[in-house]
Order: sequence, then C-alpha cells, then structure tokens
Amino acid sequence: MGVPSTMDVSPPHLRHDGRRAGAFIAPALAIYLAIIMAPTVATVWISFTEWRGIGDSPEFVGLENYRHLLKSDTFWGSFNRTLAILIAGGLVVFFFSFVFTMLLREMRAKRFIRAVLFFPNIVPPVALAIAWGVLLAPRNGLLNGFLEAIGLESATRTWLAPDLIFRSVIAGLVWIYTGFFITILMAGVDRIPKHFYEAADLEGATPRQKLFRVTLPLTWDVLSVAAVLWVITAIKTFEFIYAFGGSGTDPSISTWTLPVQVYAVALGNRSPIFALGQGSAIAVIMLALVGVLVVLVRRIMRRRGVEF
Amino acid sequence: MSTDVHVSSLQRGGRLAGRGIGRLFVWSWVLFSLAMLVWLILAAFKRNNSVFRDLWALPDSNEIQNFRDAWDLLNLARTTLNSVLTVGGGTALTMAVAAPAAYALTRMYFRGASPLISFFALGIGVPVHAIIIPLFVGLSEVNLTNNLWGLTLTYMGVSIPFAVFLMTGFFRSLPSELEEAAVMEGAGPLRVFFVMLPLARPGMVASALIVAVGLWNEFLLALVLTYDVDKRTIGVGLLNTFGAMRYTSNWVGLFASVVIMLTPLIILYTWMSRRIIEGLTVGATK
Amino acid sequence: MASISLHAVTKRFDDIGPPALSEVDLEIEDGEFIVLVGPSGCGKTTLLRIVAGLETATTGELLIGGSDISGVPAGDRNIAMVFQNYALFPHLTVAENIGFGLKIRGTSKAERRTTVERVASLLGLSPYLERRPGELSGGQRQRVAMGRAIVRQPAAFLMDEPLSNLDAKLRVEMRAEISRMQRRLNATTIYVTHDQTEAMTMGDRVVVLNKGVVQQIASPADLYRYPANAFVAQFIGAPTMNMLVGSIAGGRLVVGTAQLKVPERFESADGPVLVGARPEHVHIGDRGIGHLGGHVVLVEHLGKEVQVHLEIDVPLDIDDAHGDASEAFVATVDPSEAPVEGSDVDIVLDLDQVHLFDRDSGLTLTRP
Repeated sequence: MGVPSTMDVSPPHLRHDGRRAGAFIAPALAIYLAIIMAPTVATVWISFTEWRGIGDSPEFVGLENYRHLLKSDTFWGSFNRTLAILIAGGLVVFFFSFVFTMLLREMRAKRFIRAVLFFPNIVPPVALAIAWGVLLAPRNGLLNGFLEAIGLESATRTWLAPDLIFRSVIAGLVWIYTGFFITILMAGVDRIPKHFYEAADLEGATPRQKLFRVTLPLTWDVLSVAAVLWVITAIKTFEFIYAFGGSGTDPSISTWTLPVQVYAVALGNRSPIFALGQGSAIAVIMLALVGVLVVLVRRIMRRRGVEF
Repeated sequence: MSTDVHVSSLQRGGRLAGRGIGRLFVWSWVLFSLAMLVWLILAAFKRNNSVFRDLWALPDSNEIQNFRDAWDLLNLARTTLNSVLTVGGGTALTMAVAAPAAYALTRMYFRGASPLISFFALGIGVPVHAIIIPLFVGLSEVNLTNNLWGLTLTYMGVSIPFAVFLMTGFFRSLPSELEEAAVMEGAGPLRVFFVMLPLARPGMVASALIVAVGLWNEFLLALVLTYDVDKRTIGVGLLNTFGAMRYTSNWVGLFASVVIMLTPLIILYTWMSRRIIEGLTVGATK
Repeated sequence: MASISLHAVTKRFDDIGPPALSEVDLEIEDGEFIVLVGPSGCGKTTLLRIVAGLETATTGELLIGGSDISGVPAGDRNIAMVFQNYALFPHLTVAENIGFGLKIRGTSKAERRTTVERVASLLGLSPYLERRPGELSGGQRQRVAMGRAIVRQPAAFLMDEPLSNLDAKLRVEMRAEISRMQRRLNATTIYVTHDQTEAMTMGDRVVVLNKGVVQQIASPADLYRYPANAFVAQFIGAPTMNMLVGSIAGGRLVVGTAQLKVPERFESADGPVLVGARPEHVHIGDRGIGHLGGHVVLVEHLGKEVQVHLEIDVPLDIDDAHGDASEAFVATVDPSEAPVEGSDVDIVLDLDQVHLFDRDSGLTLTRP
C-alpha cells in the first residue's frame, strides 16, 4: 500500500511553511554560516589581495597571487604531492581496502580485525606521527631494527631522508586510512543479502565472477561515496603530514602539500611570513580542486543505484 | 571430463593458497598495528637512555617519573581541563543544534530542504586550514580569539556539517507512522520532535562520539586560535612536547604523553568501537 | 461520535495521469462501520489519510459532525487512527503509549491513570502496562494501538489494515474483537483493508474502490448479490466469479456455440455483454444437456465442496483486479458430483443466478 509515501513526498500534516522548520534549523545554520561559510567567502576575497594580517590593510592585487603561485616551484611541489596522495595513495588504499574486505568477509575474527584496523582513525594524528617517526627513525628505528634482526641489513634505508620522506608520509596515510575505507566498504558488502551469493554458488560462479557480477554492482553506491570521501580526505589531510614532516615544528618543504603550505605561508608558527593573500590563494585552489574532483567522481561513478 | 576436474581442483588449490597468503597479510597488518601500540605503551615505562637500545625488551623499571614529566610537559591539569571543556561543550552544543536541524531537514518537508541539506554537506568538503585565516581575523574582531568560548564556537562550526549529514541519514530512516501517530494524537511540531528524538538515539550517540573524537584529536584550530599557555588544549600540548623533543630528547616523556592522551580513547574505543564504526558507516550507506 | 461526509473529494499527487482519488462521495452515519476495500493502489489508504488530515484533498469537501474540517489540522480533528504497523512509541511504556494523547491534551495525571487503566482492562492489557512495545507479542501491540485510539473517545476511528501484520489465527480473533468493540463503543469507524473477508465480515457497509473511483457502496450482502459492475462482481467472492464473453441478439443469449434463453430480468438488454456466474452457480452435467463443453483440468477437494477447474471453448473476460490469465473457469460442486480430472464434461449455468454486464462499460444490466 505505500502509495502516499512514494508518490507524495510532502504530507500536509508535516509540511511546514518553512518558518517552523526555520526555527529548528536556524541555530545550526547561523553557526555554520559564521564559522565555515563566511570565512570561505572571505578566503576567496583575500586571495585577490596582499595582506599581512591584522594591523595591515589588505591591498587589492587582482590575480597577482595566483600568477605568482603558478610560477612557484614550491607551489607546484605541494600541488603534485597532494595529487600523489590523492592518486597513488588512493590506488593503494582502495586496493588494500578491497582485498581486505573480500578476505575479511569469510574470516571469523572480522569484527576484531576491523576494529584494530580502524583504530588509527581515532588516534590523534600527532600521536600517529610520533609512532610513525619512531618506526622509521634512521638509527634505532623499529623498522630498521627489525630488518637488521632478520638479516636484511641491505634493506635498511634512511626513511626520513628528503628523497624518501614523502613516500614514508604516503605509507603512513595508507596505514591510517585503509582501516577507514575497509569499514565503509564492509558496510556496503555486509548489506548484500547472503542469498545472492548462494544463488551464484548454485550457478557455479567463480570468486571472480561473484566479485564482478554480485559484489561490485551491489556496492557501487557505497564505492562512489567512498571515492568522494577519499577525495576530500586526501586533499584535506594536514595534521599527520604537518606533525610527521616536522616532528612537531614546521615541516621541511619536501613534505609540503597544499594544506601544509597554506599553513606555513600564512601562519607558520616559527617563522611566520603572514602572506595571507598567497595562503588564501592556495586555499582557494584547494577548494576548487575538492569541488571539481567531487563533481567529477560523482559524474564518473553515477550509475543507476540498485535497490535490493 | 577428467581433465576439467583436474584443472578446477588445481585452480581451487591456487585459490586456497592465495587466500592463505591474503589472510597471513591481514594478520600481519593487524599484528603490526597492535605492535606499534604495545611498543609505545611499553616505551612509556622505560628509561630514556635504554629505550632504543633493546627495542623489544620489557621495561626494567616502572618509570612513573615519565608520567610525572609528561604531566608537566603537557601541563596536563590545565590542558585536559581545556580540552574537556571545549570538546565536551563543543560536542554537546553541536548535537543540540544539529539534531533539530537534521530533523527539520528530513522530516518537515518544507520547500528548499533538499538544497539546504546539500549546502550543509558542502561544509564537509571545506578544509579548515583553507579558511583559518579569515576565521582567525573574524574571531579576533569580536574578541573571541585566545578564548575558550571562541574555540568552542569554532568546534561547533566545524562539526556541524558532518553531524547534520550523519543525522539526516538516521532521521530519514525512521518510520513516518510514528510521526503521524503523534500528530493524530494532537502533538505539535516540538513534541513530535521529542517523540522522534529517542528513536534516533543510536545515530545521536554515534555522531556525538565521532564529533568528540575528532575534536579531541584536533590541534590546528586550537593552535591558531589560542596562544596563551593556559588556553592550550591537550592536542596542542602534545604537539609542543613533540616539538620540544628536538632540544630535550626526552623520548620516554613524549611516549608517556602519547599514552596519556590515548588512554581515554582506548577506553572509549574498546567500549564503543562498534557504535563508532557503525555510526560512521550509516552516513555512507543510507 | 459523529457522522462523516465526503463530497466530490479528488486527490492528485501530480499533474500527469489520472487522480489518485476522483470525485468520491460518501456519507457515513454516526456509529457506522465502513470498510474501504480494493486492490493495491486503489486509493483507499489515501482516502483514509484525507479523513485523518494526513493528506489534503485537492478538491472537495470533508465534514465531520456536520462541520467542514478541511482546514483543521490532523491533531485537532478529534479522530484516532490505528496504523498498519501500530506505530507505537518504542521508548514509552504501554501505559504511556495509551495515555499519550491525553497527556498532550493536558489531562491530569490521576485522571489519565484511571482512564488508561480502564481501557487497558477492557483490552486485557492490565498486566502489561509497564512494559514497552518491544516486549509484547504482535496481538498485544495491536491491542495497545487500539487502546491508544479508544482512550480519548474520539469522534471517529480510522484503521489502516490493522490486522495485516498478524498471523491467520490471530487475525480471525482480532477481527471479531474489533467488531465487538466497535459495536460496544458505537464508534463511527472507517476501516481500510485489501482483504475481502474482513470487508464482508466487519462492515455495516463496504465501499469498493478501484483506480481512485468508487465502484459501489453497499452492505456486504448486497455487494455479493447485486454487484454494480463487473469489477465488483469479480473482486468480491472467492473463488472469483467466472466471466464469459457473450452477446444478446434476437432475444437469445449467445455464449460460444450455446444459445440460451435470456432470463426475464434482462429482457430489455441487447448487444455485447459479459456473463458472470459464480462458481456455485455453475453445475456439471452429463454430456448432451449442458450449455457449454469443458475439459476438467484440476479437481480440488476442499472437504465440504469440490472446486473444479475447467478449460472451456468460450473466451473468458479476465478482470484486471485479479489479472491472472491462466485462471481457469471454476465450478464449485458437491463432492458426490465431482468429475474425474482429464474428462470432458458439460457445463450448466444457473440462469436464474447469472449476472449480465454491459461489455463496454462493465455496468450491470440487472434492474433491481
């Protein structure tokens, strides 16, 4: 009988003129506008100015900040590293998440394993950075110590040297976020009723066929949400890189990503240059990147969701 | 026929071996994560001069002194209080405004509800550091920088998009019959909301936990928006301790600080990990 | 208690396609038990929700107790509703659920308690007052929903398929109990169901709806005996009425190769018709004396009677309410007369009992 609920999305008894709903929404909306949206708009404006902060009056310079950035190696370094996290890191994270999800589906300890893998996501990024630093420390580090202990001295590296440190950053991010995406993918996979797999088994489907004919199509919407979340996460991620790259102080340029550069250029704590206009320009580019990529991912992954 | 069977059993053998390797890999990963945690906890009880010498030795003494140092390094009495106030207050107030908003957005069926939901969700994609400059300036204009109220308000702002997003998922999944039954009995909008609220409790709890954990771990906003020593939160304290390491090399003190900061999280997590994990995934799958 | 009147009530959910309800007129007397019945999507629940105030009619007039309440919000209509899945508040106890409406209306705590206790004992719920809905059985929950409805003595009860979530045995019990309760309270009731047994056993009058249009409003007996059109004829009664394609020409009723005498009450009829015969009005005769030839496909022994499924060489008119083209022609006969499966038999229609409908409009040709 669900005729009314499917056909009419606005039952009159609950339909309000917006004024009543407004009273429910106003507080959240006001704070959201003041704390997030107004500064976002302001950021766009500041990005067209040169400004050294309070006490200085912003001077309108048009696209000068952007022009400067496009010529800056530092900016392109940050930009490329951000993309590296997004794409290379993303591929690794999603590969592991997928394989783990498939493996975990049939493992008895899956809840425990999932809880352990998810754990880094609730640990302060600073603590994670400290742990990651201890692991990879060149002398006395856990990893090199372990490699020596099993006779693989040749495999030891100076993991935190400029040429390797960014890969170490990505490895750390993979370690942290794989657990998060396993959790999300598992939620999607767990929703698939068992009888689909039983039916596929009865038809003699191979594991690969089950993956491509059952699992993937039925988790597609979850996958698309996960992809959007990864885009946001990868571009936003800041605390871990900041703390790991600089061991609690400003990180070395070889680990800068866009958010780190925003912070370093605009507000960096040891040697602030307060280039607020330039920092804002990077921020605007980041916002644009998030916006464009989210739309793109959604467009690519848009496909009829399957109801089941 | 017989060759077919032969081939398929070979394939199955390969498959089983693959699965075995896969499982081994999963368990190594789990073991690795646990080992890191255990190592940190053990190291927090060791002595600075021996902590890196024999990596996996058990602590030979109970260096409670480490925790006393950490207490001072972190200025723990003060930073914990600040964190509890701002995180607790920020979480409670976020829920207080996000729950009615999410309810109205999903269940009041007014024109513009759906674009408004998208507008709130937009905030999830806005990186805090991208807007922190004008945020700092704006807050200092109204004298809310270096001020725990200002930090609490900011915590609300950054938590609201995700909390609203998560809870719209929960409210949407509630049956409309209950609402209609309450309306038939003569309940007004506010009372209908309070009838529906307990039903969304799992979502509220999950959202509050996720918001609280995120804020507890946050340090950027606290770092930028407050600067007096007595306004620091525990996250900033830890970052400063980490930074000071360059000069003090007091590793064990740092590890003790990490353990102190992790303890409430570990307790919370062993107690409510399922709620956190499931709550987080509801937003993605509903 | 009050009367309810609907005048030309029309409901459109969108601008395309036919309306969900069109021009519904219905007069419900004070204390009457009205059942709305029809196939899925016929508009019966929409109609109920319009009376409740959970939907608004696009056009038309709705009066309760003689006054227009179109603009009155649901909560102020003094109407109680029992929902299909009961809609009990899971966090409230049985007592709090039953007393919810009283509390909202500001009834004092003491009075609320005595009223709730009285209603609970009426429904046999006294031992469960402190439990929550989750701790109750389906039947008990159903009673709590009833209790919440009757406790504030509303002007009318609305029930939306209240028994559909119960198992068969409980459904029969609750059916009787609701009927009993309704008579005792003398409560104006509108009851929605898709189950014709409920419609026939419970209603003082039954409203048959199809595609948003009222097909017939009549007492259960009249509905069965004098269906207004082919849809009602086939919707009411189990097994379904057999419907044959035929025509009247030159004073003879032609069905397939058979030429039958037109019963007196249809003498003025002419042209293409549908011939409706309920299974109990179809007899199986010896070869040579019947009206139609048939082949026995299936014989179902039901104890006191036998259902014989037949294939016949006359086109059947399969109605869209039941819509199953494989449905055969069915005769209900005494076990002693059961034919053998696979045999060919002759079929005799009881011409005194058949119904004729206009083949285009589907309307009955019977002049009552």
